[in-house]
Amino acid sequence: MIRGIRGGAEKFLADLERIQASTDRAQRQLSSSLRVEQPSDAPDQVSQILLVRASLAQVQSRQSNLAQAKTEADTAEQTLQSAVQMVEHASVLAAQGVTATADAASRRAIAQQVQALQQQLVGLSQTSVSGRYIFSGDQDQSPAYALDSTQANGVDRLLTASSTRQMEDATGMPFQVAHTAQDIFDHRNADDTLAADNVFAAVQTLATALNNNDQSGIESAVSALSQAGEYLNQQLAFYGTVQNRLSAASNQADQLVVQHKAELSTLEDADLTSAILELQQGNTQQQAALAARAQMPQTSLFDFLK
Amino acid sequence: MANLFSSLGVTANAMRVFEQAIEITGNNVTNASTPGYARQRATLQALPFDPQNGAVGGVGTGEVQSARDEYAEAQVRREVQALGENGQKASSLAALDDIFPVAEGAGLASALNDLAGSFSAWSADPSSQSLRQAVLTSADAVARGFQQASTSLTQMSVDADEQIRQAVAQVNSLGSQLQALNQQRLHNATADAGLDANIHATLESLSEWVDFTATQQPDGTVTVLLGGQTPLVMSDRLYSIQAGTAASTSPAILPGATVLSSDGQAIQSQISSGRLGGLLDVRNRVLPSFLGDSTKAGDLNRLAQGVADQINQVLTSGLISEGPPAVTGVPLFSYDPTNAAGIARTLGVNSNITADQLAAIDPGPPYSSNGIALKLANATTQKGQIDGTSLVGFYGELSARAGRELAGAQQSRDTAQQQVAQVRSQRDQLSGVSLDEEAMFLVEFQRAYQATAKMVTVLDDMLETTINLVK
Repeated sequence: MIRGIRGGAEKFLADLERIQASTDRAQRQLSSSLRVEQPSDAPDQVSQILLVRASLAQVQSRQSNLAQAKTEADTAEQTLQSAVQMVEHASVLAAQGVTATADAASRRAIAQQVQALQQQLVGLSQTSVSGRYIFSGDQDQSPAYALDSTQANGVDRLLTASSTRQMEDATGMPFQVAHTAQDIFDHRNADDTLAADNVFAAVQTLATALNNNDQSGIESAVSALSQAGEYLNQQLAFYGTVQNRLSAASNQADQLVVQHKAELSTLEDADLTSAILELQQGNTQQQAALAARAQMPQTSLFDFLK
Repeated sequence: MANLFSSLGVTANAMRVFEQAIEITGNNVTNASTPGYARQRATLQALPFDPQNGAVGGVGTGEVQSARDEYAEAQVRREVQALGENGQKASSLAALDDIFPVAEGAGLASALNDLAGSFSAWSADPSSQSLRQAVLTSADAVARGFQQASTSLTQMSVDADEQIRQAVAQVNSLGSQLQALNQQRLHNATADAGLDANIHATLESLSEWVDFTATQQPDGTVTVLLGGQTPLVMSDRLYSIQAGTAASTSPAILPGATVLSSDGQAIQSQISSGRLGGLLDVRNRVLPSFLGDSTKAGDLNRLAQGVADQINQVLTSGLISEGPPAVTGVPLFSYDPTNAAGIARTLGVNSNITADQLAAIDPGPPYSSNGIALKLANATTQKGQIDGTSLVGFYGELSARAGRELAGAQQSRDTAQQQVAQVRSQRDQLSGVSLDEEAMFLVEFQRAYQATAKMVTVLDDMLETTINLVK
C-alpha cells in the first residue's frame, strides 16, 4: 500500500494495475497457447484436465501394447500360413511315397525331405518377435520345442506353459491374443496322449513310414496329415480373429485418443482470438488512462494568487 | 475617547484572531499530503456588543474544528485489513501453483501417469527385465514427487512461521508508537492536529497488519483491542504480543502457529484479518489441510498412503512365480506408518525389492500371467480409492483446491485494492485538504486582516486628532 498518496490517485494506480494484469494474462495465453497453465488460472477445470490427461495416457499405453500385439499376431499368422504350406507339401510328398511305383530307396529320399519339413516346423514353433518366443506361452524367454527324432512325434517338448497373457482393448476389456506351440503343432488329448490331428506327429509318422518303406504307415500318415492340415487352418482362423480384434481395438483407441485430445484442447487451450482482443483492448485502455491522467489540471487557486 | 480606545482594543484583538485563522490555514496547506491529517478549521464567534452596557463586541476564536470522520477512518482501516490479509495470502500461497502443477509432464500427476504407463508396458511383456526396471524407476519418481511436495509445503510452513514472528514484531512496534503518542496526549490535554494525525496514521499502518478496534477515551488517548478483545495499547501502557507454537504431539509433525497475549493466553483465533490474520490462516488452515497436523493426516499424505497401499495390495496378491512352491509378490512402496502426517515425506520404493520380485501373475481364478500387471496399469484411474474417487482424481481435487485458495486470495486482494482506494478517496473528500478551498479561506482572512489593519490606522488618526484638541 502506498502511504501519503491521495485516494483518487490510488484508485487510478489500482485501475492501471488491473489493466496491466489483464494484458499480462492475455500475453501469456498468446505465447503459450494455453488458457490453463497453473491451477489458479481455472481451479474448477483442473480436476477434469488431469483426469482427461490420465485417460489419454492410459489409452495411448494400450495403443502401444495393441501395436506390439498386432506385430506378434501378424507374425503368428504368417508363421501359420507357412506351416499350412509345409503340411500341404508333406501331403504331396506322402502322395508320392504312397504310390505303388515308389520303392524303398525313393521313399527314403522322400523321407529326408519330410524330415526337413519337420525341422522347419520346429523352427516355426520357435518364432520370436522382439526377443519373445511368441508360441512359448507364459514362458516366452525359451523355445517350446526342439527336434528329437527319437520321440514318437519327432520333437522334444521343452515347455508345457499355457498362454494366459491377456491384452486390453481401448476400453480396458481383456482378451487373449496367442496360442502356444503345443496348442498349434503338438495337439494333445486330455490324458496328454497325442491327438489324431497332431502336426508334429503326422509329419513324423510319415517320415518314419517312408524310412521303413511301410505302405500302410504311409497311408495312415496321409490321413493324419489331412487332419493336421484342417487343424492348422482352425488355428489360422483363431489368429485371424485375433487380428480383427486387434485392428478394431486399435481403431477404437485411435478414436479415443482424438476424442480425449479434443476434450483436453477445449479445457486448457487458449482462445487466441479473445486473447488478442483482450491484449489490444488492454493496451488501448492503458494508453487512454495515462493520457487522460497526464492532461488533468495540475494548478490550484494558489497558482493565481498575486 | 474611551470608546476609541475600546474600539482600538477590539480591532487589535480581531487582527490576532485573523492571524490565528491564517496560521490554521497555513498548517492545512503544509499538511495536505501528510498521512492521517484531517483539515482543521478556525471557528469565528461574534463577541457580545452592547456599547451602552460596556460590551465592546468584536470577534473571538471558538474551538478549532477537525473535519475528521471517525466512521470514514474505521471504513478505511477495515478495507486496509482486508487488503493486508488477502495480499499476504496471495503472496504466501503463490508457491502452491508450483507444488501442484497442472502442466503436462510436470508434478505428481505426470509421475502417476508415467507409473501407470510403465505397468501397462510391463503387462505386454511381463518377462522383460528392462520393462521391470522401468517400473521401479517410475515408482521411485512417484515417491520422490511426494517427498518434494511434502518438503516444499513444510518449507512454506517454516517461512510462514518466520513471517508471523516478523508480523508480531511489527504489531508490537506500532503498538509502541501508539503508546508514545498516548503519553504525549496525556501530557498535553489541548487539541493537537499533528498528534491526532500521527495517531490515525499509526492506526492505519497497524490495520495493514492486524484487525483491531480503536476507541478514543475521554482523556484523548486511544485504546486498541486486537480482534476487539485483547488489549494491545491502553492509555500509556503497551501489552506486547508474542509469536509461539502449539504443543506438538510428535517431533515429526510441525506444530501449529500461535500468538500469545502479554499474559500468555493464546489469541490467534481472535486475529482473522490483516497480514497477521492472513499468515495464521495459511499456516494453521491451508497448509495443514495438505500436510497434516496433530489432528489430521493431510490430503497429500492420504494420497501417498492411497497410492502405496493400493499398489502394494495388488502386488502382494499376485505371484512372482508359480513354483512349486509358489512365490507371492512383495510390496513396492514403503513409508513410516506411525506418523500419518509424515507419509508423503517418508514414502519410498521398498529398498529390498528387485526387478525380478515384481509379481505379474494373477493366480485368479482365472489365472493370468500378466493379470497383476494389468490391474496395476489401471490402479491410478480406478474409482473408489479415496473418498470415492480414483487416485488421479483425488490428486486433481488436491490441485484444484490449491488453485482455488490462491485464486480466491488473488481475487479478494484485487477487490480489496479497489475498495481501499475507494474509501480513501471518500475519506479525502470528507476530511482531506483541498488546496483550492484553503486558498479561498486564505484570501478571505487576508482581506479581513487588511480591513482590520485599516481600521487601526483610522482609529489611530482619530485618537491623534482628539489628543491634538487638548493641546
